[in-house]
Amino acid sequence: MVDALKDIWRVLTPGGLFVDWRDVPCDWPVEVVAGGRVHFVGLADGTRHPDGASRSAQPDAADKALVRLLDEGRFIREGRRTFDCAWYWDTPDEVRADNEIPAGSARPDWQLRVLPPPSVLKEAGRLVKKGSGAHVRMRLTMAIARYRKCLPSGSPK
Amino acid sequence: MPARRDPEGAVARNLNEVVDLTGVRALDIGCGDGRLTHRAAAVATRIVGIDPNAERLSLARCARPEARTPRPFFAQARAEAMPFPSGAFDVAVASWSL
Repeated sequence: MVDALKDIWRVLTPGGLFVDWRDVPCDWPVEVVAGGRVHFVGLADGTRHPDGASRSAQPDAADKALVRLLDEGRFIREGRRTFDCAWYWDTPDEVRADNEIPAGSARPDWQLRVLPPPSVLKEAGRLVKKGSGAHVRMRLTMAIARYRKCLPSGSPK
Repeated sequence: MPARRDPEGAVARNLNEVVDLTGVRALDIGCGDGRLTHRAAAVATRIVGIDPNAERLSLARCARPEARTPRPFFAQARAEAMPFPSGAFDVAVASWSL
């Protein structure tokens, strides 16, 4: 991760900007949206892969690497914000199909898969059947941060 | 049907608010299917998308929402060793790739 950030620093012009956006692993609301109304049905654990493994290793490594480059004076952070990003499916079955990892398959390392608990999907299914044109929605928390390239002395050029 | 991911465009909206890509040389790291790369092509002077996954890059190369000038350039590469000279870009965006 440090190597990647150092190469990003290298390809930027002095004073250039680096923007990092990714999800924030936490509990993400699962809702059913129907007829302009939103029904909260539960939470999906964004800190875990569908197979139960923790998702924290990669974001932790990224954060540590960023801190290291900030400490080295290669970047200064100019801001960070969080926002919601919604994903939609027509049915809970589609949520499962999209997020489950088939038995015997390797977990894709690049594709986010987070599976809400069965109880949440069951309740979502009940509500989807009640409302025509209903959709299942998961609201991911995202973070976006902006950094400016500095020379190791700390001053942008 | 697979997920409809961010149909409201929250990522693009927040990206636009955080950085102005107008007239800059921009690099989209982990560009995936190129959705944001193509969007940035409308305003950037030059936009390059990189991704280590050849399958996703082929999707990015095929996705041409409309004729744009300049067209994005896509390359299979990892952020650890990018095939670009030093100081080649004004803005680099890590799209869900750190």
